[in-house]
Parts: sequence; C-alpha cells; structure tokens
Amino acid sequence: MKQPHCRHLLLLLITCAITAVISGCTPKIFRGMGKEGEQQITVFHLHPFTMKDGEASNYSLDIDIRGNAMSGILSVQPDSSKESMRIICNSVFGFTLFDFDLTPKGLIIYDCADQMRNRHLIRMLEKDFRILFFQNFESQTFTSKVYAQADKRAKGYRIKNKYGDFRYITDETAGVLKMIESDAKITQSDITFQYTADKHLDNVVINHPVLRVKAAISRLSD
Amino acid sequence: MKKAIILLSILWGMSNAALAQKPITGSEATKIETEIEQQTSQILTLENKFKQEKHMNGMSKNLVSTGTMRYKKNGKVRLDYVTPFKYELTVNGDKVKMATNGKKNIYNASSNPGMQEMQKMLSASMTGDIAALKSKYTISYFDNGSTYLIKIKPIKPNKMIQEIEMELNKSDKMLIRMRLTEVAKAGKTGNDYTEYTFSDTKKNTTIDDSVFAIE
Repeated sequence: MKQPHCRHLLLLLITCAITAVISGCTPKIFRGMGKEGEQQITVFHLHPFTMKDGEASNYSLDIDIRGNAMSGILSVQPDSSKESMRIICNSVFGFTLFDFDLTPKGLIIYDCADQMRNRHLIRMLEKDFRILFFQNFESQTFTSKVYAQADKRAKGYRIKNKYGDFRYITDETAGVLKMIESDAKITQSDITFQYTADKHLDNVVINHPVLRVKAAISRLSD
Repeated sequence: MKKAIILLSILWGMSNAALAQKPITGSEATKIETEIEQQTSQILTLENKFKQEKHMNGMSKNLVSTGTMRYKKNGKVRLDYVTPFKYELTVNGDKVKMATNGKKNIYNASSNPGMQEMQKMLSASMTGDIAALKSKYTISYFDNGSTYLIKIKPIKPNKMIQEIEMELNKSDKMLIRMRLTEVAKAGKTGNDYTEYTFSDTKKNTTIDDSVFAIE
C-alpha cells in the first residue's frame, strides 16, 4: 500500500522541480515579455544620468537605514582617463558622510562616518553607485539578453557581469529607463526612475528589501 | 618711472603681508579675549544670513548652500537652509531636530557624547563664543587688519575636526566668517573644509522660543 503513495509523491516532486526550473529561467520582472535573443550593448545608453568628464554633479540624497533617516548632498565626478568615479556625500551641515573612489578594481574608501561604517552597507552603496553611475562609461560593453512586450512598448535587458546580475526595463514609448533590478542576496535591490513631463530625470528611488534600506536621489540644479 | 611704480607696489604688498595674520600673544591676547567674551555675553539673540561653502579636494567645484541662522541664549540655534534645498537644523538644549520634505528626525544628544560635543561646538562657533570652547581647544589670536583671526584646535586630536578658524570684526567683535577644516584623510592630499560667511547680522531682536521648539 505504501508504494503507490511514494510514486505519487515522487511525481509531485518532479513536477514541482520542473515548474520551478521553467519559471526560474525568465526573471519575474520580464514576465509577459518575449525573448528577442542577445545583443551587445553599452550600458551607457541605458542611463539617464548625464555627466561631464572631470565635472562634479550634485544630487540630494535621502537615505533611510532601518528607520534611521539621513539627508545629505551627493557629489559625483567622473574621470574617464582612470575610468573612475569620485563619489562624496556630505551632511547638509557640511560634514563628510562618506568619500569614495569607485574604480574598475573596486572601491577606495577615503572617509566614512561611523554610522555608515558597516560592511554590508558599504557593499550595497558600491553596487548602487556602480549601477547608477559607473556602468555609464562608453567603453563598457556587455552581452545582454533582450526581452520585449508584444506591442514593443517596453523592453527588458539582462546583463550578467563580474558586478552582478542586472535587469533593466525601458519604456520604449517615452524613450526612458524605468527600472533596474539586481538580485544578489543581501544587497539585492530595485531602482525606479521618475521623470518630469518633459522627460528629465526627477527622482531615483532605491529599495533594498533585505538590508531594509531605502534611498532617494534627486538632481540639484547648478 | 615704471621701476618706481613696481618698487612701490612690492613695498605696499610686503607691508600688507606683514600686517596680515600677525600673532597676538600675552596681555594683548588676554585683552582681546576679554573683549570678545564681554561682547558674546551681551548677546541674547542673533540672526543673520549665511553662505556655506564646502570645499572638497579633487572636486571641480565647491558645494554652496545658503540660509538664515537664529540664535537665542542658552544653547538654542536654528539653521534654515534655503538652497540647494529647504532643510532645518534646530538645536535646543540636549535635543537636535533635522527636518526636510515634511520628514523630521529628533535626536537626544545627551545619550551621544560625540553629538553633544558637535552641538556645543556648533552653538559656540556660530556666535563666536570662544569661552565655551576653551576647555577642549587651544586658541590663538591673530591681527588680520580690520579683523581678528582666531584659530582653534582640539587639544586631543579627533577624527573629524582639525581646526576651526573664526574671523571677527574689530569694531563690534561680531563673527563674519568661520571655517571648519576636517582632518586630512589617508590617501587624499589636502584637507576638506566648510566655510561660512555671515551677513545682515541683527543682535538682540525678539525671537520667540517657539522658533526653537523641538517636537
């Protein structure tokens, strides 16, 4: 009497496993989109931040770390000769919250306030800045899996590189980037982009559900 | 004739250089310190406009902010930033409030010695209250022409501040400029600093306590 019961259980387990594998192949963010093969792209065209080499751009940064909120000003300055980004965050009062140099080889930390000095938090910041700013150099070319909605109003790009597994969603009608998702266990994140009526980037909202950190970045006028 | 003009210009420059930042020591320094303390003790309230510039080594431009500052005797300070965005920083006794975009955070500085120290330094440096800083800082005075330059260094080295520089008008001993220089970081050349310049200063006007309410 036990044998048929075991056989049914095995069948159920195999069915579940197959379903999991099939559903796991296409990330949830691309559900409803068809595959359109692979393409070599420079991430540059997927980024709404425009920056001039050697010139600092300033952003307001509101960050909530597990209920503790902080506000500051983020200054970002690319150096294409070194393919690096200088990223400094100051409190509104002027004190340095953190001071980094983001390079192809990693993050150089010149300064970090005590309340930010946490290994996971710094890794999280590095990854976010790499997604938002660093993967912006034209020399960075990646192989991307491409997905698209049937009506072509939205497209998806999946890029896997040494920095992680990143999924981009673009609004093809508006010609803007809508969302970036990265899936890396502790530092997993989703980033949404909000635009003004005339398609200028207004606000970037970053959510890290595992670390329970939320951040919002807005460009400050010069 | 040209040579004479050049020579006169050099001599004029040298004489200015000799006057600039001339150290003041001994009884002269004590006299100035007493005058400043007397002036500060007479301040019940203070309000002014400020411009804040953060200089970061290696970056193409300074970060500039502007706003208004209000002070009331016994540790009440409020900074209202207008640019680059609206932000309020209020210190009232042991409490600190930071508010922007409809969100506020209130901290109790009494549970955080580091924050308590920052709070005292903020109140003292925004008003030129040298006496409040004497116990933990060394103070040096300089004659800077029409102003006094006061250099304040922590007695015990700390992680954040290397030096505070205050510039006061000789005529009324009011603070016109303050520079906070951060400790130099490993791997970086030079020191980052934040400089405040003050204008439209009004002394002893009526400022209601509700301005500094933290709730």
